[in-house]
Amino acid sequence: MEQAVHEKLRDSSKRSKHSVWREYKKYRGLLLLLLPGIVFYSVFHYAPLYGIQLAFKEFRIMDGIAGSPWVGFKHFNTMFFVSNQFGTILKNTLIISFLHIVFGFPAPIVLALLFNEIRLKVFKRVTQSISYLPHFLSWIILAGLLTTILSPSTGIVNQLIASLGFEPIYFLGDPNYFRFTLVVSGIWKEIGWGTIIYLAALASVDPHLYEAAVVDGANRWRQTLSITIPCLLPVISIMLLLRIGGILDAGFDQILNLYNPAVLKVSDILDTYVYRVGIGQFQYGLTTAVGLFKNVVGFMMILFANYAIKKMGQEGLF
Amino acid sequence: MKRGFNRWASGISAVLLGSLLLAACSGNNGGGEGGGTNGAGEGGGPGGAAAPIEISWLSFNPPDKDGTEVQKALEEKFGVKFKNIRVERQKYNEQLFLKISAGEIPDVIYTESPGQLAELAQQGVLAELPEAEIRSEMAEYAPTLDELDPSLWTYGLYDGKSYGVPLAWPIGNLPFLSGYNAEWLNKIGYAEPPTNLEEFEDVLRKFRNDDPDGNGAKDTYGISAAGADRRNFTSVFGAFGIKPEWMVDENGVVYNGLITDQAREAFRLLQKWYKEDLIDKEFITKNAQDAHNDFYNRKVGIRDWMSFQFDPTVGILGVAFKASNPDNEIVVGKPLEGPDGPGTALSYGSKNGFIAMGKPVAEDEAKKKKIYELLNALATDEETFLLASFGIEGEHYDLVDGVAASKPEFASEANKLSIGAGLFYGIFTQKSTLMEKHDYPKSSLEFAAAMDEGMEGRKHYAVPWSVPEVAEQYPDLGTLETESYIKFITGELDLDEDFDKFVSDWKTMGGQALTDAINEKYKGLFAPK
Repeated sequence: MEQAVHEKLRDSSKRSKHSVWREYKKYRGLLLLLLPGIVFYSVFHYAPLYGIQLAFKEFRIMDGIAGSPWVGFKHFNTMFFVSNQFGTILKNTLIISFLHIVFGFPAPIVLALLFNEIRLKVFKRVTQSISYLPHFLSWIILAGLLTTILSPSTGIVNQLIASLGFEPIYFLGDPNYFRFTLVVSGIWKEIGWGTIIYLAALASVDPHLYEAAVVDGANRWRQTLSITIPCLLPVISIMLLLRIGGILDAGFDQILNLYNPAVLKVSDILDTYVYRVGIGQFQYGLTTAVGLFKNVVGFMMILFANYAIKKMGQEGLF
Repeated sequence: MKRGFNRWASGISAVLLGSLLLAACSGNNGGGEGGGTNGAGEGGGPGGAAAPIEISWLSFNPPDKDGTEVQKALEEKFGVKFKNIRVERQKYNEQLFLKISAGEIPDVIYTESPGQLAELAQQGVLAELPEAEIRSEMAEYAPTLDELDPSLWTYGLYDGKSYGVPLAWPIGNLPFLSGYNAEWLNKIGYAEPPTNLEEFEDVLRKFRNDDPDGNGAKDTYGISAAGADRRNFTSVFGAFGIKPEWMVDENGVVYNGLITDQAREAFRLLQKWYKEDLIDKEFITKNAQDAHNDFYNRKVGIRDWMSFQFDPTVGILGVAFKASNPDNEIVVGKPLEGPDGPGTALSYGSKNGFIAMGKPVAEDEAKKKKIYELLNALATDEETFLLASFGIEGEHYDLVDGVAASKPEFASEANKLSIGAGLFYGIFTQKSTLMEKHDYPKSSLEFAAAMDEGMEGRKHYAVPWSVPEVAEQYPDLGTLETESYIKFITGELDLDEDFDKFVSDWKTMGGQALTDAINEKYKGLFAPK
């Protein structure tokens, strides 16, 4: 279908200009479908770009964004050289994000492969649905739940740990465990939701491949290694690419709702810093500068990952 | 895919955009109305045919819905129309700034502190309200401030200019004290609350180990706290003669108690208790309300808090404790004697907040006059005060011997919200000395007097400073303080070398600059102790 549209459009471009409009008119239904996406991105992603100039200004609300005086690179100077927190924050952001990628990224793939092996349809449906559930709860609710579940004195997790004869662990208050808690709770929340795209990809694997493998005497493990995973690779690489672009997104909502002064040193990330200082202390210029820095790094990471993945022979984004 | 700031930024900008448009529209409206009502400004009488002046109103504890009985009665009485702006009490600062950042500038803004006032003034969103103007427009209210504390007029100045009507909260002068679970104290053999640190430690140990609630499990603590809240463990810091934040020495010089040697010793003791498991280890992830709850729910036997709130009739803690422990009571101790002699206590002090007006009001003389008139009446006219704070006579409250008494169903602040009474319009509830007799039952006033007995000269009042132009250069000082505060208690930082390093880091990361700036700006303004 999509292919056909492309074909037609390409054909039409060879003809005179007038017929381009005719083609547009002909496919106006499809073009109309595009409209909400364009509106969404222009309102929520392009219009705010106007505010980036705040990174170079001393913002006063009454003067407005355009009217505030320019201050050059003052905020970047503060960020890199005056604030001694910046190094820690950047480090935290990278470490937490890296942990999320290393452990959180493969988790849904593994789960999808496991779901794929379940033979009983009803059981598969039920487990899948249950695994989606936490995705629909916001972090503010989950944070309340986690505080209760993980409490060293009354939480169920620690009662389990204690019954096995170990010391209770203060998951949310001990800097040694906090990142672990972040990663595991992050996986728990998103793992089910993440499987959807892989399950869709799995469904499109040609069954003939498996039949041929069975004839050749391959067992299920061999089939997974030699057929399923190679067939998933294009999807995996695209997903990884997108994920790497957000390498400086270490999970704002999650951390904001879970962190406390005891674990600040290991959990304060760029986004929480921007929020705390920007909103809490009215320092819009400085925090816009931090946000801008973050986006530039994210953009470079996308370019780099795209290049690397293309080099490895997979399809990139552009 | 993109999370976090992007979403925030886009949300905020969208709101910004929208509200810019709105602001443009309402700006026009304001001008039009101002012209119309200029002449009738004085009387505000019902006879005027002019359209009511619309006032957008931002304060604590907004009513659940618009058009409540109290709102309607006030609107009719003053010929105005209120637009209620709602902000959550718990996140007042954050949400107020968000609203303002989005370009929504209310006409009347309750601000909690001179710091908040100064930040808003610095952003240019406030109308200047010169002292002389306040004195002439609020002629009945102004003298009451002079009587209480003349420095109320000056401590909130920003750049030498006044931007708000000062508020005082006389009851705020009461000390922070320790409230004890009386039954538990008796059980471990104390007829009276502890009077010094050694006894206090003994009580902590027994509350932890001797099963004071008698349920056969070791699940109680002596004391808990709320994260890095500076109102934690005030009894301990007080015993060492300090509070771990800005305070004033005997010569009127402002310094920070957090970096003193007394703080070092207080932390040393707290750390020892923490390691001995005498302090609830989960205090790190708790907030003030959680810590209150632990006290009512018999998980913890001591709560350090603003002593008036222990009052069983109207105090926040007192009422809740009574409700869940009907046969028990709170006994309140005096400050603990420490190594250097009698203990001291933290106190909010009576300096409270300000009522500011949004910048657009400055251009609208009629509206400004009207707001002044309204505020003056709320503070000094008994009828208006009672309407805003308690509701309608006969329906929501009765006058008993000339003193307002809420009907039981409207006694709590939460229930007052449903009729629009309480702190929202009644900004001067508990904050106007002329109306004090309505604010507290007689028993509570006696309770307050008992709390304050013998506390003369032993209280560290809050130091409501504000030097935003210096503070903004050091955005990370607060983080250093809260982080170290927790780590000194948990023992992650020691109290010898690490404390020394903290003190020197604190000074270089802006602490010294702030200390100097505060002392320069407020020379002699804050009375010692």
